Amino acid sequence: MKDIKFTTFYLSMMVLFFIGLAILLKPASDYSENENRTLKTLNKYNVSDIMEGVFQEDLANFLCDQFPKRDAAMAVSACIKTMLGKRDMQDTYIGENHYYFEKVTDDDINVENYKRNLGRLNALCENRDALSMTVMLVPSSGVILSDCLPAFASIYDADALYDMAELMLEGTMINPSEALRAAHARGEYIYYRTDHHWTTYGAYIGYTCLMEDGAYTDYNPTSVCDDFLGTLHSRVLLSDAKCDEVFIATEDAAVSIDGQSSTLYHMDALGVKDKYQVFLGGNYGLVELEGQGNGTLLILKDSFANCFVPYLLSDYERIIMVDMRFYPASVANLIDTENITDVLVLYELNNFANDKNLAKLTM
Amino acid sequence: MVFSSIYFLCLFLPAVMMLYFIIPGKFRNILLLIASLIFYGWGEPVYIWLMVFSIAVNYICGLQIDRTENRAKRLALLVFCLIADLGILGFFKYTDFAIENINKISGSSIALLRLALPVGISFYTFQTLSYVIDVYRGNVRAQKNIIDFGMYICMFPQLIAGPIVRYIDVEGQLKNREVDEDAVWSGLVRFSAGLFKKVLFANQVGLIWSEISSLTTRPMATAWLGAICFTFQIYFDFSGYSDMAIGLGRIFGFNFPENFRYPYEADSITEFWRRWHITLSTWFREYLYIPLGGNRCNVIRQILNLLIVWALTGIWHGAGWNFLLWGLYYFLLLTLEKFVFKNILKKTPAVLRHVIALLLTVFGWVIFACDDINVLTGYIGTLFGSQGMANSMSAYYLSTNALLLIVMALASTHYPKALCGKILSRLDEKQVYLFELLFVMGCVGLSIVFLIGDTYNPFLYFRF
Repeated sequence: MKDIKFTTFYLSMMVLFFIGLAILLKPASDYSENENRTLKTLNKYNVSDIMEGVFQEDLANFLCDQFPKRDAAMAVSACIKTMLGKRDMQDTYIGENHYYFEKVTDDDINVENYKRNLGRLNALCENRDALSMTVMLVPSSGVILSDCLPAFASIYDADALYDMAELMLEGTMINPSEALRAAHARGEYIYYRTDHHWTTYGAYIGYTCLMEDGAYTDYNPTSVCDDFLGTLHSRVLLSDAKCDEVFIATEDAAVSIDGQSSTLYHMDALGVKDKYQVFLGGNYGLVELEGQGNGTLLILKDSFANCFVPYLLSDYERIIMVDMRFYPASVANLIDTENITDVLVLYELNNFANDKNLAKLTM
Repeated sequence: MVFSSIYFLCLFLPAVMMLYFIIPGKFRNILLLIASLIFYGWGEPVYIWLMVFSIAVNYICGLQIDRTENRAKRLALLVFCLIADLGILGFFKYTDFAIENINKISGSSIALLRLALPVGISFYTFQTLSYVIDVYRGNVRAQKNIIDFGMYICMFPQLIAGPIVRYIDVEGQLKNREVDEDAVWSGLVRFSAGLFKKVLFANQVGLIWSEISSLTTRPMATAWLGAICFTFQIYFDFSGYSDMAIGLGRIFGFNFPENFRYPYEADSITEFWRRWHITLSTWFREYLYIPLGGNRCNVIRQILNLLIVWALTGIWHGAGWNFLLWGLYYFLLLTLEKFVFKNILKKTPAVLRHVIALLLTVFGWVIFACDDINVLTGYIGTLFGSQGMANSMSAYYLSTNALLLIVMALASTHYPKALCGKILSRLDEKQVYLFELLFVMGCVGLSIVFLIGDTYNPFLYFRF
């Protein structure tokens, strides 16, 4: 028995060592699609890298990043945690009916920054009497689908933020919450289960709130895929996730992205992990679209606008979309040189509150 | 290097183990010394020189004290060695703390040193001190072999977080160790259990504590839940580490002293400290409290001795006012227990005594955990309801962590071990082996899965 025990011990050490060696020797993969980040790889190191601990730190990250079946390990640990009762991981609530929600509580909302951002929008309208600005902030899915949140889980107080905006904003504020709640009560599919974005139909509800008699009326969606597992799923990787279906509801159109000609819909995105990129192929600094209506509209936006903008093509002749995260130039200049009279600000509410890039509006 | 990491578990540890058992016995101490120096210098290789220096100073002082008959000269050597050891500890651990406070008081702006703390310096300094003091007292002979001595000082199993192994306890094992297959196996089992405690209990409950402690609004119920989470985190972290150290020691043929004996089962603070970090309390008793006169003197002197011991115990844990406060908190509790409430406590029902001891311990950990005085006073305020009693999130935290907390509460008692003992006593040798094999595989496998899972780090900044 003694021999068996010792042999087992020695063998288990060999197995562990083999795993370590295998990670070091196998070709390293450098990108994790689920995490949307590059993985650690090893460079060449010299003595001073070792003396400063650079090599040691890199090795530690390398071994974790390159560990075989990493995603599976994550899924197993997430599964055990949920069995123990855990209902949030990586800032993601695991809700009812296979819904995941971003865990954003009042603590996570930077109210000061929110007020500053509202002030920046006001400042943009100052001295531009012809400019009409409309602000539509979209509540996070957890706000509207609160009945699907885990028991007792709380989400940030959206109403308080809307009240604040109502009070401060000089432009028009559109609050789509009520319409979205009503749609949810009807059992409509307005937010993705595994992604934080609103669905094509959710965006349509938003459109009806924004345009009381908009030109786009015949909502007739086509399903383009039904195997979408979004970014919230990437954070928890639970195996019981229910895939989302992605719809498009308008004709494709030619657009210009950062000066390059492109299309409204990117069907090749259906082959990658993040299928929400089917709308415009992702986020870019400056996107210009040609529509069938009249006038020019400038949209200051985050990714919530990507599946929303197609509806507006019926109403405007020209739409310019600016994503402040990737737009290096001055928005004020853009407004003046393009003689823009209508501005729409479209963000997810909490993203708008915490966004630091709106500071660039003062440029 | 830390035990709960992939490079330790999949490279360092198996490499050292595999080598250790195939090389001839006489080379094993050299292997352990080299491995320990690599382990020690992993983060800051330059500190290997500091370790070599410490080993050399204590080795030479020990030999000289042992050789010298002259009492005054022996004492001088001891004092020299104590100043060297405590000087290094003080320099690396407390200089910045001292500078900060001098700056605060005098308004000066002396630059901080910002030195990285050499790993385990508080632990191995106490080990070297135990050696020179015991040589001075004549309790033990000086070690002539510098490799054996160096290995004792920096042996990687207990280097980072104890237990503090007194030289006198392992002297015999430094030279004559046989490979005992049963001990190797039981060491592996012990190590696995410790790893499990660290990764699956301490790390997980630590996430809840760090979330709750950083809330801006924290009602009383949430605050206490957070404090309880930290109470479990520190126990499973620390005792898990001790288990791993004792297990590794056993594999190499050492018998390290136990460091924890179900401290949360204690029904008084005095009892708690007999069960918590036992090797540290033993060290302070042997090398400070008893030499000061211990309790063989008048009450005033006894209280003064306790004050000195507990102030130093507090500050040993870290360079911050909260640690000193934490030490003084225990000085106060122990003094009250010893001199004021002794008879009242005797008449108190055991359950109530237990509850009181636990509450006081949990409160103590809050002092320990908040190393910024403003954060600390804020947190203590919330413990007494300065931000309301409870909200929906209190219920959320409780309901989503209740099972984990119950499991950990049970795991911190002696019952799981007693139950295992009962089951194993009914099995034959082979079944016990299989049971233990499954246990090891489960603990190590799950720990690796969780270690990987916790590094899983979705890049959330770009919200595509």
